[in-house]
Amino acid sequence: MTGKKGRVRWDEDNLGEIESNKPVRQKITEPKTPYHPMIDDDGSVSPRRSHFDDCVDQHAEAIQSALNNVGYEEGSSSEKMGPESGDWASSEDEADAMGPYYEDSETDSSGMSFREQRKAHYDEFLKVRELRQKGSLIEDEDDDDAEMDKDDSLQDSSSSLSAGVKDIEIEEGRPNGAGKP
Amino acid sequence: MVRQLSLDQFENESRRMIPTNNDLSYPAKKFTRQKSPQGLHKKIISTLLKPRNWKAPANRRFFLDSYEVGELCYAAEQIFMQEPTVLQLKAPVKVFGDLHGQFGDLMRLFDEYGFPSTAGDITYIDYLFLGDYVDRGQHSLETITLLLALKIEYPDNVHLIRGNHEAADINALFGFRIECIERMGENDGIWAWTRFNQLFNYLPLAALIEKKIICMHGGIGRSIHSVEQIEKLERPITMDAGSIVLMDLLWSDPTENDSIEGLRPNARGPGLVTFGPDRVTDFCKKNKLQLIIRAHECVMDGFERFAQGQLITLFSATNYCGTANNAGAILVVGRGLVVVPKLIHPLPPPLQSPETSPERYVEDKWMQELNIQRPPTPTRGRPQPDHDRSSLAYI
Repeated sequence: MTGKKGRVRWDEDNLGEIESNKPVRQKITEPKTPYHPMIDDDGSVSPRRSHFDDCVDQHAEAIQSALNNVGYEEGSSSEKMGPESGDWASSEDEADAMGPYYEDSETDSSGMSFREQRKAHYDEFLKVRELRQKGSLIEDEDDDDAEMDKDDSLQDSSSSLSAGVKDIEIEEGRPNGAGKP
Repeated sequence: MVRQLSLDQFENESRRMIPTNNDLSYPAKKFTRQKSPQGLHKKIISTLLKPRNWKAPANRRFFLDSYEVGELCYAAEQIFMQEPTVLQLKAPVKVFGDLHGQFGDLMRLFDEYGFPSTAGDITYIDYLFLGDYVDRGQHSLETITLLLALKIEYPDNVHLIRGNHEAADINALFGFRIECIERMGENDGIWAWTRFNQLFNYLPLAALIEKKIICMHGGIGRSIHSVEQIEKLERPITMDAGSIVLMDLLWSDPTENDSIEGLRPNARGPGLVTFGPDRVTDFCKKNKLQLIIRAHECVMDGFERFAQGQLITLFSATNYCGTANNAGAILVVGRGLVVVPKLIHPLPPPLQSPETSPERYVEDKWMQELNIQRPPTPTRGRPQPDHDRSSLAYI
């Protein structure tokens, strides 16, 4: 019975209770927005994806480099990557087969799904990378320049930001309590 | 059971320099020091642990100075140093996802579902926090200092692991550094911010509950196949140390839904990946695990299942950034490894809160009204319409 002891299991009653106590949600009745970002054969992203203008280049680049970097275990899945790899908003192969008009019940009136918007929100990694490349936090980064050129490099020996942190001069003796507000 | 950490042994040490390359000098002691270092964490707990009554202070000046931050960080650091990189925990445990400086939500969760105190339930259940304590919200300082104080008070029962925002590169840009400066003054603020980030390099990176449930902030990415790989990471460790395991651990996400298998690029940035349910299954099988609990992504119901329930995303900050209108959740892992989500729903925002200021409104309009438009999340086992494949919870 040791195998049975401590098996992860779900408290179905609690889940049912949560489900039944959910606020009623309004179903969208307007026609579906046919927003299906198309990827051109050469891998560049269609200009229709205007929401992501500022990171389009990075994404196209990111796709290429990630494709090169990531070691896929199954060859077949990597072959499928091409047309869909940049298609963050559309997450189902089945939907692609249906063409640009697929059911997306999480689209709001502006055509942006929760997923797309969440993705746009989580831009921390890109922002930091952008700043490193601009070298905006510290002045002296001679050592890092060669490494900064590689977009896909995770091997940066020291980022400009954290190097900036280490190099901050902390004066002996803490400033007195009447510090600047 | 609950051991009080005596800070006597640290009294001499607390004046020492923190050993770094650049000799981070310790701040000089104030003339009128009211409390000894031993009482600091207790003072913090008595000031901040107010599940029912905490209100955001109108005066934003933080009640600790950089000296006290230094003491707090030093004491917590000593504890983290002694812990393994992968914590070994026993049920029952209460698990918390991202808080992001939303201290009010932490108080609500404590108020509704129990709080870590001998007057609460700490003698019956452990607490595990999955990182992302700072940035975005308005009270990163309260959040991180209370959690550190609780760690010092209950070192064997309160557990903190690292999120991707516990890194100087990130929290320089997304609110924590600004908050430190705003609330402690420029000199004290930068010093304290720096000190916190040094501490963060010591945070454990994952936790195992009864060796059956693994918890980390992000996920397993492409590089993590065994728990030993995580255990081997030595701390202190910086995010730019070049460790792919660390990047995957703190940054990776599951794929968009269970139909997307294998590895895909992650929109967060180049070199980051999303991992499919097959990865989850393989990892769990290989490591004899039954569940992965992770955070890192805002989800509408506070928790969201993936890979037929083998992975859960947990998110504890409600109405994230003031506009997402999402519920926040914790997971209570009971003695028999029964997993029970507990939710809090977003409160309507007060009229003049910073979260509803015009600037914030314009910036974060994207998340509004989503709860109205989103269909009910189907749970495992419920009959689904065939076409509803866009729901992540479709299983």
